[in-house]
Amino acid sequence: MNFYETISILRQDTSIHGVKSITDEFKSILSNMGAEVIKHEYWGLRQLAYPINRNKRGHYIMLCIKAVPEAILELERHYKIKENVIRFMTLKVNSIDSGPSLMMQSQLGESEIPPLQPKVDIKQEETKKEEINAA
Amino acid sequence: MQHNITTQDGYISNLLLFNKTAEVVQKKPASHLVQNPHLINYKNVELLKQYITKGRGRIIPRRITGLPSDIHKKLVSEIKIARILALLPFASSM
Repeated sequence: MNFYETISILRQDTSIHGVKSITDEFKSILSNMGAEVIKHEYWGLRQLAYPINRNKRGHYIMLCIKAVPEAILELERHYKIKENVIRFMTLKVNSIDSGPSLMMQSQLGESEIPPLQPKVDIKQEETKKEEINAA
Repeated sequence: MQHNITTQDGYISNLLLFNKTAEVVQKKPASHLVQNPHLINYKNVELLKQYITKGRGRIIPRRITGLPSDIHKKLVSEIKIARILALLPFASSM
């Protein structure tokens, strides 16, 4: 059994309920493989440093687990199948702290990121402009 | 990075950064990272940001930061992990 930290980035249009259900799914996959989830963190909807598949933001999920290597292979297979996962990384670590990670500690002081602006159709805007001009 | 080599905006001149023959005569203060190497982690994005350039996101050479080689090696590897996870930018052309 080894310790692993696995991080996955979900698409920006995933709802919070969707994020929860996906993390539960990953947890159940791991528990079926006999792994133990020690810590689970949700880093929120973060700004990406560069766009990935046209996503400017992403939901970050981190799972700290104690597992056999086969469980990691199975989890990564599911990461690749899931369309919501735009990026993932699994790191082998020597130990896992039970407290909140450095990312969560730095986020405590920060204000929340403003919500995404809703998409507006160009056609709708044009018709509005025409109406204004006509009036 | 409290050296005088940075300009007022926090930028380091490219001449100094990537001209390997340029000398950095400044005395290098002992970093707090030497005492706390566990702080160097891909999750500690605010710390890693201090060791990449502001404009293009290039890793600042050890010649300028004055860090010990083992600390610098760890820093570089963690910056590269953070880049893959889109926490830090890859070096981009201006």
